[in-house]
Amino acid sequence: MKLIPALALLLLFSSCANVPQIDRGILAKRIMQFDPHPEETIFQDEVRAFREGAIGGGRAVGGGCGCN
Amino acid sequence: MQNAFAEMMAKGKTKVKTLLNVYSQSSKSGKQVFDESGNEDVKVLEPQIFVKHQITADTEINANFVLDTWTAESDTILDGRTGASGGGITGQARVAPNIGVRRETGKTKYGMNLGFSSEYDYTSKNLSLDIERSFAEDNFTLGLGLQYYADTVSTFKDLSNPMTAKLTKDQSRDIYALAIGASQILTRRDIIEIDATYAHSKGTLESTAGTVNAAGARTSESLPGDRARTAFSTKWVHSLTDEMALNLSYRNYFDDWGAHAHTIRAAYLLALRDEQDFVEVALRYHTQDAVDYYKDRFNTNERYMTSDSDMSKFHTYEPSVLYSRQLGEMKFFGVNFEDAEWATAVTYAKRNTGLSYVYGQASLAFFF
Repeated sequence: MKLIPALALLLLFSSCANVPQIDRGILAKRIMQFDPHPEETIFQDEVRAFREGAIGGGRAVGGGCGCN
Repeated sequence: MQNAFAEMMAKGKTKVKTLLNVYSQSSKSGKQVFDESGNEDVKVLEPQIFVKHQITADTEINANFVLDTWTAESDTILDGRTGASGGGITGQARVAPNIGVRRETGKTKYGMNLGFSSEYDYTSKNLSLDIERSFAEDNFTLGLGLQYYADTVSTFKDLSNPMTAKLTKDQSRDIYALAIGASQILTRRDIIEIDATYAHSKGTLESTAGTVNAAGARTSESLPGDRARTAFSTKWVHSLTDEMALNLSYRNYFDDWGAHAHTIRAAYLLALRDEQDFVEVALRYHTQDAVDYYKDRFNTNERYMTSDSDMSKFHTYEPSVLYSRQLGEMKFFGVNFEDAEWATAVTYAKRNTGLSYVYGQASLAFFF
């Protein structure tokens, strides 16, 4: 049942007005990236996955860690 | 999935990034620690190297290698009683290579990664597959990621006589994970992303050094052989000006062990010196409930018991700052390197239970 709001959001997004390629100059900047430092995030995800026992919003779901 | 979404380089280009992570944790509140001292101090030194090379206009190969060394007091305390390592653990190490390939065909990008990780009480072999497709003139993007981990873990099954306790090695822990994500450009200054992640772990889910105080005696923690975890997250990036942006995210996590967590993060990003420098200042707040099997101590032996502080009820504040600077062209040993970039970051986290950690990250990246 919790998937329904997510699917509704997806449908909402898909009906948004398009921004033409020529107007995406700001969106291409580093400050606008979802993750502007992906290599640093790998270690951050590792720490959070093991210290918080939670997943999601990052990549680490297993694979070992030197901090148990 | 973010890595699979990154832009491809020009054919023949290679990027190398070296990154050093230094982690220091301090705590005297860990109820799982064998000698009741609560000592959870940890120090980790983790150098990483990332290499990616564009072999054709639409195909990239990448690799990274991690070498961890660390000292963990809870491991050392347990090992001091059991002698499990033979001579007392004073330091541990992990090696973790990972290789992958990414390919772009029209509106579709896909990638595959293979990873391996090895330490004295844990091994992992993992595979991940990612696919992403853009729609509506690249305004809307849909991504799917699959991960499989074939891990093994060593644990103590019986601590009734610590001096003769032995590690039961190579117990399996399989993890399957599925992630679905979508992003949508909202305006010239706004982009939003939503993700759903589901992970199912099966096998030995206890940790090596996890113990509980049950009926006055220390014994190994005991947990179910299955755990289904689900998380929904959303992120909104909004530019305030051409050089300033806000990156706001929220995650809702729950699992079938009774844990429920909320995490919010707000980051302020700033480009300086004609976008040669980059600054990120962030504050993250995490709050979680304890799992159903958690207690500080147990009056009687129960089927499932854990006192692992990471599965207890707590909240954490985590400020961080990252600064990177473009160094331009550099020359080492007669080789020209382009677009060199140096970055450094510091993150501090403080739990309401007393545990705190700080880690620094320093990197140098260049192209040739």
